[in-house]
Amino acid sequence: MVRTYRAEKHFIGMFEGRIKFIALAVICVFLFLTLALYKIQVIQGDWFKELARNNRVRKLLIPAPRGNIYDRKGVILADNRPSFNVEVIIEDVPKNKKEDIAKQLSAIVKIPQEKILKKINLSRRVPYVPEIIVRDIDIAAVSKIQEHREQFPGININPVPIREYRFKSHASHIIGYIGRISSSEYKQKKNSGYDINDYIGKTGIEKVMEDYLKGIHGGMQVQVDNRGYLDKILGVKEPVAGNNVYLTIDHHLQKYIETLMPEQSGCIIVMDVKNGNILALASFPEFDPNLFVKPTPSKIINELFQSKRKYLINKAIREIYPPGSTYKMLIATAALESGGLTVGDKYFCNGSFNFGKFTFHCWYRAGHGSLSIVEALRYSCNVFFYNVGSKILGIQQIHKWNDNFGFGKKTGIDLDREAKGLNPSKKWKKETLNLPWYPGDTVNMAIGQGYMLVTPIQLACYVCAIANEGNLLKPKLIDKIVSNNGTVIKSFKPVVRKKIDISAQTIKIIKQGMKEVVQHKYGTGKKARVKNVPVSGKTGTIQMGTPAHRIHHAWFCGFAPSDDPEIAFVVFVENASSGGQSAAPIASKIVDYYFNKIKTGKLTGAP
Amino acid sequence: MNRLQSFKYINIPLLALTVILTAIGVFFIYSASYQITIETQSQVNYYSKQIIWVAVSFCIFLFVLFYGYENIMKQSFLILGLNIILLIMVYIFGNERYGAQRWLQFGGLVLQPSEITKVTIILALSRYVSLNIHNYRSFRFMFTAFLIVFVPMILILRQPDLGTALVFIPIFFSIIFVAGTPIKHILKLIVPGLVSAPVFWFLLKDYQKNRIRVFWDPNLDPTGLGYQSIQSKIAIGSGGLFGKGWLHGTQNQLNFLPKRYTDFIFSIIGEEWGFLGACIILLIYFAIIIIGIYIASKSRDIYGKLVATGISIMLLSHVIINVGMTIGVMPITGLPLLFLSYGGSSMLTAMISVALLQSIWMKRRYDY
Repeated sequence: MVRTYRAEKHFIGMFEGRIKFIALAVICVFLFLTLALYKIQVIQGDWFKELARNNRVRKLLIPAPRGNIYDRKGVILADNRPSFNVEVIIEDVPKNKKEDIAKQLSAIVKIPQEKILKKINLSRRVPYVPEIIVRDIDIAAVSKIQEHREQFPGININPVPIREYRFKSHASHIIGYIGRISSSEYKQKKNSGYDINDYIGKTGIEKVMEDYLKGIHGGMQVQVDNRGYLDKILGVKEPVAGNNVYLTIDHHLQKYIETLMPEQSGCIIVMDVKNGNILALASFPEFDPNLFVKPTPSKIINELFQSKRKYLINKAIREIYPPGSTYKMLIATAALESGGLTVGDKYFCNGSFNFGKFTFHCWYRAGHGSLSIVEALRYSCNVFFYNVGSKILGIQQIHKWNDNFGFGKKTGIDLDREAKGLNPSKKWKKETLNLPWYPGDTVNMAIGQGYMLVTPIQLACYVCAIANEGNLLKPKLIDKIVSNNGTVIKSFKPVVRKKIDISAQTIKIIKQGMKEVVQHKYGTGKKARVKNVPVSGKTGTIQMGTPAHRIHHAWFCGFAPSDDPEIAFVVFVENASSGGQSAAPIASKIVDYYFNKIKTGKLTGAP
Repeated sequence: MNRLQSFKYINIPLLALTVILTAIGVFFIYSASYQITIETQSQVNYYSKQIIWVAVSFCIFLFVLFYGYENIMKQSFLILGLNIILLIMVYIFGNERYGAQRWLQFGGLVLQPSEITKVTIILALSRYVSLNIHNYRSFRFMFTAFLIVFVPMILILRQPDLGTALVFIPIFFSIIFVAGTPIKHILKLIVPGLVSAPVFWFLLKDYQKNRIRVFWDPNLDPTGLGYQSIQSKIAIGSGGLFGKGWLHGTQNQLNFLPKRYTDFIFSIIGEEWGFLGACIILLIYFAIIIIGIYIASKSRDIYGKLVATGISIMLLSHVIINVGMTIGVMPITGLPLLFLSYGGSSMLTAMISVALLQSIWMKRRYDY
């Protein structure tokens, strides 16, 4: 107790001294704050008043250039060009001159006067922030406005980098396009450095690689004079350009395949058998992505979106079709692997197949006679596969092998909105159609018709897996991402999605069949031949529409060279005569071009 | 003794200054959010919300007076414990806004527990020191006191709320200092603290580092924080000697200053009332703080002395950090100006603080 009393006594003594010290500190702090206020409010007051008048200090955005997109060899497919926007700072336009300015400006930039006036009269949101009147005006208009600058108070020309797709529609479905950020996208992204006037990737690589391509905007704080013109730069934050994306595609091959289907709709895919690299991929008809960047009449844009020819849809990954006869290798593989079929087993084709009360026809109504598996592939005999599908396999087996080859699942290609296709099963039919699985459904499916639906890219992976003896690869479209100073940020390795368990014997038989499709004198795909390269493949022709309006789509898929495959390809032509007639000749041209032009090095150099 | 009778001993100047300052705050929140009120057709209406907060806080103010600080004293540690639980809840369930997790939502009520922590820390620290005052010479005594501050401080730093956490440092040192701790012990804490400052730099979040970098060089981020700092200076500077008049600040009404009704309210006062108005505000704060110190020196018990000192220093820290930020002599941290800034939690903290001062003052009068 005594100790505490003493301590308290001591405390009171200490406290009295030290609290005075604190009071002194308080006085000092307030003196300091008052002096600091005096300095900026009284001594520098006039200067700050001047800055505040018409707010002389403004912040400007310095947009970051978007990263480039290159092909595998470094050919630029998409980069930026300078463009000029006409902007207005509404507060700097004298009230009585608005009409006048709109009139004169309208004559130069050729947009209606009312439209300009509407922008100039826009009700104030954030003051002194430039409002874009018109984007990307030509250089003649720029110099006209600059010459008569004094006539346009408040109007500024702002140079900004703008996306340019150098080869117009070249690889348009891979690259995709960018467009103005929508209000919902802006709401979601404004915290990650997006500006309200920004462009953002809408489809394709532009969308998928948005985060890498984007870059970081810079900014500038400037002091302007009383007419709103730049007086002094107070601070600059440099923009950081976006990263560059290198694709796996070969610019020359891509360019070549784009010439192969000038009129029709359809698609072509060329894939590296060993690593899944997409060497070329085109969907027809193509479109020019530049239309989305520069000011384009809405009529043209609407046509792109609404046309029956589906300009903007990448048919190689977003559309689903029955695989038709190209599916027969899967049925053959399943049957051989199940042990129910051997290389010597034969079935007799008399042109039709009776199944219960139904009759299924072969495409060759006269009948192929007695056939083994290799011959059945060579002639694409339907009856042989009706037999195999219904008598040896059944839907469960087929469903399992579909799954093995990746049908009914996305391939994981680096593009947006890939379709899944359909791998039918009893369960699926019950759930979606509320119908039982009929044995006739299996018969139909055995020749790739009926419920079976695939995307062309799935078919390409499937052919690839046959060619490389069982490796189901992920189609690879992006090779690497490189920063602007040249360091590789990310490189993409080949991905084996699945190691399919198929015996070497089975592969050999299937490959023999595919080889004979092209090489045999009666093969259905002999138009795919190339004089010095052995090609293997499979035709397919699918019937669509009603019997009155019957149309045919043509498939040809395969690989080359037959013995040591390097590339796999899929050709799909809508509204054609047949796989052998319409698609196989295109495949021949692709293989010829790849092995005799690109591989021999005859084409490297100028595009 | 009848509690009501003791009300006649209330410190009238302190009460008057509190009322004046709060009223000025409501007026300037009105001005600062004037454009927002018009734009939203009074649907978002900050000044009337603030009036509600003032009313609620005043009830708490009266409650503290009735209950008396000597009763609160016994619960000091309990209160701090509850507060720490709230902080942990923020850490787990808190709402995120502006990239920080500081808020707890109870139905329509949004609370920022870190605000009130400043007061509960003062209470707990004073309690600890007053109970162990005979040990004032030992280093261990001071170090334990330091731990009391350290735990909630780390929780608040993690939210992250750098501004609030910074206030804890002067509070701690002032209480320790007036308690008579030998200066050499205090140096033993300060010196390693300064030496390990670079380590803390790495613990800061990127945006906090940026704020400090931008403070040294506003040009590093001319469109972001540098912009805010420069626009605030322009607002205050352009106010000149007499200001542009209430509701007539151009920087204010033209929407140049973000967060102007909360953290940057002083910029608006500087712009619309000029140097004279700003000096009046500083003078009021000065008077409140000096009265606080006076109360500390007149109080007859250790706990009361320490609490009054702590509160005075807390108010002082808010003024220097917040006003310093608006005139560019301090980095930008999200710290409100007590009594003036919009916000329920800070109003509550302010009112409880002055209520404690009043309570200490009244006890001294009616007890002796």
